[in-house]
Amino acid sequence: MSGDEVVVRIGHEPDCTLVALVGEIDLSNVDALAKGLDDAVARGLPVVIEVSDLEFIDSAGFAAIHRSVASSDAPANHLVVPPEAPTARSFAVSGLPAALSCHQTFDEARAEIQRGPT
Amino acid sequence: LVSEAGVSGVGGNPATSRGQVAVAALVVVLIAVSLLASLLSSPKAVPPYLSVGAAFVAAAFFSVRVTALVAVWGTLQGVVLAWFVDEYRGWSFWSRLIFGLTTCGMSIALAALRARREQQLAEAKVDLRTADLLRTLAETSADPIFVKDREGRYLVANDATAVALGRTRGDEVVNHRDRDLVSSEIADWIEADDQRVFRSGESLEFEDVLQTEHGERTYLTHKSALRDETGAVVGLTAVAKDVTARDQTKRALERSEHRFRSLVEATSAIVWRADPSGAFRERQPAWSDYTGQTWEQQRGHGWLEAVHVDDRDAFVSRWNQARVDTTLFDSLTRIWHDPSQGFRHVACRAVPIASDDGGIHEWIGSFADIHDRVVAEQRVQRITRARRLVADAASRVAVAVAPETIADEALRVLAEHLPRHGSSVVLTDAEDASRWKVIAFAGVRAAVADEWQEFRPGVRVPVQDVAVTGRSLEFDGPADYKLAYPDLASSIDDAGAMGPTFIVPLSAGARVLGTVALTFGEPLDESSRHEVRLALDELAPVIGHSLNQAQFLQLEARIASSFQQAMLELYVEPDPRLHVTTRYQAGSVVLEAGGDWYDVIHMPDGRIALTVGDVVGRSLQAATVMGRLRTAMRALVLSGSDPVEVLTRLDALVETIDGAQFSTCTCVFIDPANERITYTNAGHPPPLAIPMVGEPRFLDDAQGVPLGFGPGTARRSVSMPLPVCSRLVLYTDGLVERRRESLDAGLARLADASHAARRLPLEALQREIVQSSFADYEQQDDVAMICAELVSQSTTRFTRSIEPDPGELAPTRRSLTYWLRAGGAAPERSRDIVLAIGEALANAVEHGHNGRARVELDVRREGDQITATVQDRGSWADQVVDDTRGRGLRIMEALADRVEVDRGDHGTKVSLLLPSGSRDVR
Repeated sequence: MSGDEVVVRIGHEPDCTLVALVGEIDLSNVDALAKGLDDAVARGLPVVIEVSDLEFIDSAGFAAIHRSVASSDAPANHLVVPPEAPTARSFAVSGLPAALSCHQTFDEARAEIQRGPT
Repeated sequence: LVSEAGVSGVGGNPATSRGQVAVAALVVVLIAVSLLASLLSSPKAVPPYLSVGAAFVAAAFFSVRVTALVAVWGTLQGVVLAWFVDEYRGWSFWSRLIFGLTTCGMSIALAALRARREQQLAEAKVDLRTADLLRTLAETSADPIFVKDREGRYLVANDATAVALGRTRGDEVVNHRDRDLVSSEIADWIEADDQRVFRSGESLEFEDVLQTEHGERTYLTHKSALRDETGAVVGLTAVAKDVTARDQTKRALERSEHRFRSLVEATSAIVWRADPSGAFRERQPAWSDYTGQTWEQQRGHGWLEAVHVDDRDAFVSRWNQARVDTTLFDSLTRIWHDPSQGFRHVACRAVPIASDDGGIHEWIGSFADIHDRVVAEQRVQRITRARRLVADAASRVAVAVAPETIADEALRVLAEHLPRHGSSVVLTDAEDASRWKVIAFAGVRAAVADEWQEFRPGVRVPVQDVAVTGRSLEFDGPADYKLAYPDLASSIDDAGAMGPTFIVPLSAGARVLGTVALTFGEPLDESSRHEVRLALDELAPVIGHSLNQAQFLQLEARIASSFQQAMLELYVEPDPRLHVTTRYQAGSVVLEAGGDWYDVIHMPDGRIALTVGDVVGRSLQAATVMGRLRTAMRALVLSGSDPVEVLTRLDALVETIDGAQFSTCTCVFIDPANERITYTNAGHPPPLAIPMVGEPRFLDDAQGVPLGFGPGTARRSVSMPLPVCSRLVLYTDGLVERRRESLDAGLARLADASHAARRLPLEALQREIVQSSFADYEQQDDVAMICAELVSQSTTRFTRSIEPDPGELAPTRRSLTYWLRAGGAAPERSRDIVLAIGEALANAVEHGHNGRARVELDVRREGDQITATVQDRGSWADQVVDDTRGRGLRIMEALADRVEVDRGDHGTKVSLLLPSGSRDVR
């Protein structure tokens, strides 16, 4: 994968920042992912990572997510992994969901955000 | 000479000569001597005899008057003087008187006698001369000259007279009468003419037609009465002139004049005269009548104002040219016609009348009104043109146009050629006669409906009636139209057209397909309406035929397209060694469908054949030929050993399949085990090879002629390496060919697009190629296409040797995925395997390299297990603590049954044992 390929799409919601991951994320483009996530976190709102359109992610990607989001001091961030997503199993074995608030749909994540910080 | 003689003869005076002068002198001397002697001498010395002598001398030589004078003088002298002189006593007075009177009378009588004699002599002499002259003149004259007496007898007649009377010599005519010479009928009117001359005593002219040996001759005869001394008419003299030639000329002239006049009248020509410069110098009534120009307006060059302003320059320049050349002026132009208040086409001619000095004396011009003819010709031309245009529209059906397009074309043709109108074409549904729709309109507010509309019970529309009767409808105006179709009243009012409406059936054979309707904005006169009928009569069958053809071709195209799709919906058996995507994309031009094919054939010896081809022609026929060719090729490939052998046998086969000749195709044999291909090409665009590294390249080293091109076609094949991960693109010309563009440009576009997308998954590569080909160009032709990627040499083993470059990871994972999936692995299972092996590869690429040493991947399928080893040249022992790598190991361990990491001196080797999850163990 070339480095300039878009792997992150950021959407600005009123109460959160939506980060949709797309394509294949590996060692070749993990820097782009990290930068995108840092930008999202910098907005100060809870970050919701959505992976419906993500084809592949490996440990390099998981590590980047963990560094940027899971370990941040910001309010709890969220991960939306629909069960039918191509990478659902990858996330399941990555151990990452433990570090994030994990949901199956974006609406679930949003509902939790609206209930307030836990 | 004659007149001189005549004059002197008739005058009767004594000729003056020396003798006469001498005699006269003698007379004078005698008188003078007797007078002197009487006065001066004695009476005896002067006898009276002297004077008597003088009187006799005078009588002998002089005229009666002179003689009388002399005699009277002598008598007076002798008698009267002697009376007073006594010496003459011897004579008595009376004797002297008697003597004197006697002498006097005798001398006078003598003089008179002599004079009479002299005159007779002179007259006789003149007569003789005149007759001679007359005869000579008459004989030498070519014109008849004759003299007749009152009885009509010819006294004098020359030869020409004889010829006129059917003889040859004058002698044969003289002393004869006309009655003896010509038919009594002719003699009757000749005599009648003669009598008129005799009665009137005048000179008269007659025109006689006589039969001569030279045929019928016309004579103009001048006859004069001949009088004797008493003035009584005794005969006639005549001179005739043969005017036959003059007569014929005159008659010819009359005939030609008559013809000319008839011509002028028949061509309604207007004639005028102009001076050499072309100026009108006198009133030209005919010109005025036609153009309505007054004399003041037309005088000089004012008449040119009546010539249409658009034609005037050409007219004047032609006129000037004719003036310079002094030739006939001839021009077609338009001239204002006052009675009809419009310009009319005329054929204008003017003839220069030459003057004596060779210049132009004047111009006689004329023009004939040929307006009706020109208008008729123009109308014929318009209709011919309309027919041609519609025929052209019809011919465009052959390159697939919809009925809507045909209808639009037809309406445009009508709009160009007929007065302002609104028009529409309505079709009835060929499959369901109870439905109709408007497919085209022009100049009216109408909606072209995509949907068919049902005929509703109780609501009448013209198309229904026309379809039933097959007859045209015509309405004089909106009122009539509304009366006939009250349901359309509101739309007729909306259109606001005041002219007539024509609704004409569009038929194909006995079937009425629909109608074309025209409504004119303004009322039309009868001749215009006739023209409309004429045009519609010409156009309607053409439109009907075209629509029918279009409907038929569309139907055929739909069948062909379905057939084609069905033929190509083949199941391409997955092969772990070769990842293949195929595509068949129909072009926008529906009727071009058919004839393109692709095929992927697994050969018994483990090779895989790819073929792409294109049958000449289109539609259903091409689609069926395509089906046969593809099947034949599949059979030949399965039994063949080499692409050349396949195509050579196909060449022979093509001869037996109607319509298969000149089809093109490409045939590529892929040998995955040896990573090689062999290809050959029969007139087809060359396949494109896209290596993982480097530029794409067209495989154009084995181009040959199309299939069935002829005997002795030598084909050849080329063999070349095709490393794993390399891709091939086979396609038909619809992908690269554009109108008005060279094939090279299309090939370059394909190569560029392929290169740009070379790292994308194969499916994405194919999508990119198609998109870039038709991003700015509407796809016309069908495209059949195969994209293939060589994944592995073997179905049971997948090996890669990759650069230590993170960019290599994704393609490798992708190839591995193809290999796994084609080998039967379920999608979820193959994702797990790829994730696990991907982690191992990523570790090796990130940490395991030493310099530029490659990373070796070896994956094997054994039964229901996958074993994978990743060998690098580095050591990643130090990085185990790293969070990422630890995470990677954890993932591998979570997914694999067993993970072994062997950290050797020369690198690290990761071995994974994974359940294959194959449903179909190969």
